[in-house]
Amino acid sequence: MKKIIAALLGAVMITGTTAALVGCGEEDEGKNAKYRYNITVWVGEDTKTLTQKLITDFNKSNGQSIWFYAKVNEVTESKAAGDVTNKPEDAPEIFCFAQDQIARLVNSRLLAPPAQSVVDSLTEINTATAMNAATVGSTVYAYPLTEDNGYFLYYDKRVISDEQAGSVEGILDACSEYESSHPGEKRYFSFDLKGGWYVSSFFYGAGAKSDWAVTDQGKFTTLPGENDTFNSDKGLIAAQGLQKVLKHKSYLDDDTKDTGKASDFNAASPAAAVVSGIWDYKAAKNALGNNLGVAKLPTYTVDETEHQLKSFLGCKLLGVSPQEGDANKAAALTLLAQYLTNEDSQMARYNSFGWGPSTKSGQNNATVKADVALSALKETATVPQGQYPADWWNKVKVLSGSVKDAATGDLQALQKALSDYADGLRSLLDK
Amino acid sequence: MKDSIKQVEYFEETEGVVEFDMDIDSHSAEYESIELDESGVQQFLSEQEASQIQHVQSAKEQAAENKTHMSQTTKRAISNTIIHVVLALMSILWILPFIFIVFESFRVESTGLAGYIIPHKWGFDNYIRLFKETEFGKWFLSTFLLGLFCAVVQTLFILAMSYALSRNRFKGRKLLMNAMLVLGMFPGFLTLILLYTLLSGWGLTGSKAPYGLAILYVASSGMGYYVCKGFFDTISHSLDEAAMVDGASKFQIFYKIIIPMSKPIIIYTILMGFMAPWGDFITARFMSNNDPLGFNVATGLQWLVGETRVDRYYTTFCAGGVVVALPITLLFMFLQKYYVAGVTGGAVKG
Amino acid sequence: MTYLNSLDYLKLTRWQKFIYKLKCFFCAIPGWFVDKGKKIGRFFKNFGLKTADTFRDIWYTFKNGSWSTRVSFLVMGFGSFFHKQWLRGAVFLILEVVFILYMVLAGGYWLSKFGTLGTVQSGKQLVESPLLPGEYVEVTVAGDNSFKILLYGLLTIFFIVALIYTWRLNVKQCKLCDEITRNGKKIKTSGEDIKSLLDNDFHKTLLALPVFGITMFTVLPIIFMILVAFTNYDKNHNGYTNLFSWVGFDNFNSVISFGSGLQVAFGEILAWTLIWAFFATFSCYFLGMFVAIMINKKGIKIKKFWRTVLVMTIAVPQFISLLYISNLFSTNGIVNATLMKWGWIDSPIRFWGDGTLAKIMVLVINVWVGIPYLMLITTGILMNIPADLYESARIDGANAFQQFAKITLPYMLFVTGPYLLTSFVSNINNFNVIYLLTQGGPNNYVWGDVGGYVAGDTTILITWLFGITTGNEANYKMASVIGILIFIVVSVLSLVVFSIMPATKREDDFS
Repeated sequence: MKKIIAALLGAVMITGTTAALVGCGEEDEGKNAKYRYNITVWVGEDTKTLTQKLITDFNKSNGQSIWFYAKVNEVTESKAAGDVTNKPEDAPEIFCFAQDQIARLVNSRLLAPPAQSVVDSLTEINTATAMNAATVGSTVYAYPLTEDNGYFLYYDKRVISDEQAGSVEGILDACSEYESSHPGEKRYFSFDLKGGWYVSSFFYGAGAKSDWAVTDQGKFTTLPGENDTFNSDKGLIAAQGLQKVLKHKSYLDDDTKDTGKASDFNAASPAAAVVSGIWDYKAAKNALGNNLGVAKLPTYTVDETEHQLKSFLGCKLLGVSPQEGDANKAAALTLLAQYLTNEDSQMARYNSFGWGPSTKSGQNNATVKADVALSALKETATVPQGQYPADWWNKVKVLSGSVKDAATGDLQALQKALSDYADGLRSLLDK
Repeated sequence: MKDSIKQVEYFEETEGVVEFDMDIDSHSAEYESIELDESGVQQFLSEQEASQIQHVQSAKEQAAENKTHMSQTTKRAISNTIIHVVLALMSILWILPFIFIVFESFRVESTGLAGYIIPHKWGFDNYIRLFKETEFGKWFLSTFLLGLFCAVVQTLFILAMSYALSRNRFKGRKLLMNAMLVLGMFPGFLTLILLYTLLSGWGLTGSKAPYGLAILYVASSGMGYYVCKGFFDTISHSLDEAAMVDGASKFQIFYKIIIPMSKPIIIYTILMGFMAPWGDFITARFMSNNDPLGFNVATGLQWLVGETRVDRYYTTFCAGGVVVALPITLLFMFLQKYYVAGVTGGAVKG
Repeated sequence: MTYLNSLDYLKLTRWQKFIYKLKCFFCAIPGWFVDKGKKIGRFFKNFGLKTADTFRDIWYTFKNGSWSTRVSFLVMGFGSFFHKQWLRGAVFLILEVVFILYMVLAGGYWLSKFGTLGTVQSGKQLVESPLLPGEYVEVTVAGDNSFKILLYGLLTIFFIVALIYTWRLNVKQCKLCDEITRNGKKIKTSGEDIKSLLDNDFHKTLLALPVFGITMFTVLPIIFMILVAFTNYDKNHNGYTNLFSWVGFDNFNSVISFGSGLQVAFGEILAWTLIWAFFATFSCYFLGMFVAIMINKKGIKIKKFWRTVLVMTIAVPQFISLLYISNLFSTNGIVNATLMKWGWIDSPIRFWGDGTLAKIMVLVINVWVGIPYLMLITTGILMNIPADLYESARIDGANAFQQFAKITLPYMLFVTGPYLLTSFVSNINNFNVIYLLTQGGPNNYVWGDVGGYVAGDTTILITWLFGITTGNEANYKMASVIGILIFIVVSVLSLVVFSIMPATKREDDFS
């Protein structure tokens, strides 16, 4: 007994000391710089190495005045804002986040707006859509990083012909045909219609919309009123189209897992078509190789009228946390954020991971224009994504769920789902 | 208590097998088996009980005449066969997911999710990638150290708490026990945000999260006194009294009498303490605040299968799972008997 | 409810006996509450009397005490020094000095803000920097931090309570010393004090550190979270950039008020939580026992192998095995694909998509998780059942089932009563199985959408709390209210069961 405890203690001590001894100094390149800061930077998955390189470039590019010792961590863009809000005091100095989080961050006062000259140069190089995404009320709060956050269609050419890929009916039929000719197998249409971001495509496709006004403080204080037409005849058309897909046996319906991922191409019962974005291009290519088809979003038909699904087009943004008291650090961070989102950095990101630039020059670049995934997104009819209350996405998710739960073709039930949605909007307002 | 110690010894000698019979359609077959097992049975039965068996043996002869020998043995054989089949099926069901995970960890031809289980091409690539490309080694080491730390400190805390509550009657003892019972019912992770702020104030979050976790795991471990106290309760007070007559202090009683008698429960506590940090992914993730240097294995492996990484690291994730499971499985295989003895000695006697 | 005498009772049939027992049990519950109520009343009465006694005692100590005792009222430990108890005196004095320093340096500040949780909102300021010449950069001007005020205010209150307690000890100590000197006896020296800490007061030594840890890392956080339920701490008021403040019972009202979505969701989730906990506990319990009996049966070979195979489920971290199983059963997962390939089913079974099926699935997989533990525990207990009980049963001609029902089961239930209760409680808070398998899904679109999170059919209270705090609203205030309600439900439930259950009353029986 004693031996065991002694052995345990010994092991703890030995490993503890060795751990403490490992890792001693490196040469400090920035020791001559006038402004030196330790910072933490959160960037999207897989982009750590490039970001580190860009920061080093920044350090070297500005003579001997500013030097950042940056710790770069990879945090998924969709989760970064949540963690920043939850632990505001330990927020990283610079972080990357998805556009739909900006109002929430501004409301929590966790973004420092760039200085005016930086805003001017951002406006000059970036597209209007991107600048709009970075603006809350009338203030620019963030630095556009990409303009590629939308979705389009990946499909398996062995199952779905290019023509069939043009409409959801074609896709679903192709899946069914495949199943009847290959007994015991299954092919799916994987489209994450549990998520509000994807469900909206049906509504915007039918001509309905939901536009919200946000105050300078990132608060939603007024209902969209006639700017929300989800609960209308157009909305009803969308709901019918949505229901048709949701109830089809070839639609991949999984309640606990996120669907609409390129990895569904590899599942035991694989997908034949996946609606996803450019982030999945590599995975889709790996899964299907030359059989991979990439196309704009399909159409859907209700009452013999075709409606084109429309994707939101959003941006990834870079945010800088407000600094307490230290104006020099705040200014230096502004410069770094500007550097990380400038034309060259965005092109570097495109070259490494295929992220679509938000700069005018980047979008006009010949290689970018020829990019398969980005051009599919470009061909897809897109709606520039505005600002929404964080919980709005949940409301649309519930709307989609109610549409699924309603009996097929029961227009009254669909109408009720729509009016329930409209009634629920009031609860989204900030007090 | 003597019995339970004897049992433990017996447990060790016979590879943790204590046989007793439950299916008794027949009388005679049972009696036969008692004869066969008598040497084993008597090892852990008191003399008194053994004499009762003698008694039974004389009675069996009468009963044996009632039914024929053969049919009983066949019946028994059939029921045993059925049980063997059931156990075999169960084992397959239980082990299958792990076999699957092991298979996937050896898959070489692709690295993402796949719709099949048996790899087309086998190899150790994923294990190599696990240690080369990711910081798994670091995560593993820090979790291992955390495990050792918890095994030692938590055991000390729990022993102290249990002994104090089991052997001393002092003012507020009942209150303390009830309070701890009730406190344990509060949904713990609601308090994470507060604990984070506390630890963050001392700089023990982010890359230093393992140190913070060490404090968190250990600080409240006294509340897990339940099993251990139950065990101490079964140790006869007459031993204490005898020692006290000899002039031993309470510390000496604790150190020289109670501790040596509590080997199974101490090993059980150490085992539990060591295992706790391996599966924790909520607290550890919260405390690390997205810093990979502060991850433990669970957080790290989860991070590996994040949204876009899953395509490159899924099989590596499986390999990580296997690497984590190995030491704990081995530990459990060797210390199983102590787990059983500890948990029976304590858990159920409250 | 009329209670039968034993003669009448014996006349009843089996079924009637059972009903009668059940009736007795439920009829005893109100009585139990009345009894507890009375006890609580008595407790408060005693408490009042005791407090009065304490103050009287303090006053007499002052009035009748020696001058050193009187000085001790202000300078703690003075009396102990006077009586040459250096150790005690030093401890008292140091505590007082530390306390005063803390209050002056920090505690006073936190305490003064505690009533409002901060009034100065952090602000913004435009400052010039040489790095951006000719321009203004926005920086923050620090304000109050509600979160920290609440936390450190609470800590300060803990300190004050601790100091008052120590002060009282100090006074008592002086009184004791006075009395001892008056009677001409010898006062304990510091050396004896230390010795006693290893002997008669050994429990104090042992308890000091663990109890301190529990106070700091369990009691303090729980009180903090309870206080949060009376504030408006959420995404709009994070306490750092936007202050939060006391709101009284508003949060409770919005949960409890009839017709609110929260109230409906709470009811639904609470019901499933209790059902889940009940079935999860008992299914594992009986099946685990059954498996243990099978493995331990005489004539079964390679027992150790069977056990080890089962035990492997304990060794593999749940977040790997359960995630893997969850994927196996997904709509496009391997189980469905294989069944379709074999032609057993035409269309996939949506294991996680249908509410009822998902509930059954989590219960079944929980059995998969739980059986190994129960198997190990039961194996041990079965060993403890005296073998002669079975012998005599055999002679009486009892068959296997009768033996199980008459000997094994009662014994098991008797011995494992407290264990069953704790495992019921831990199942109510069993986060891992539900979260890793279904994340609470399938989403329920009828009542699920409240508090910034869409709850589902398998959501139990604890995963709901997780969803609410990590969801869009970071709704800590609501989560705290729900946490308190869970706490009340669970503790009342288990205290009732605990005090009715026979097995818990025998703490000393084993000695």
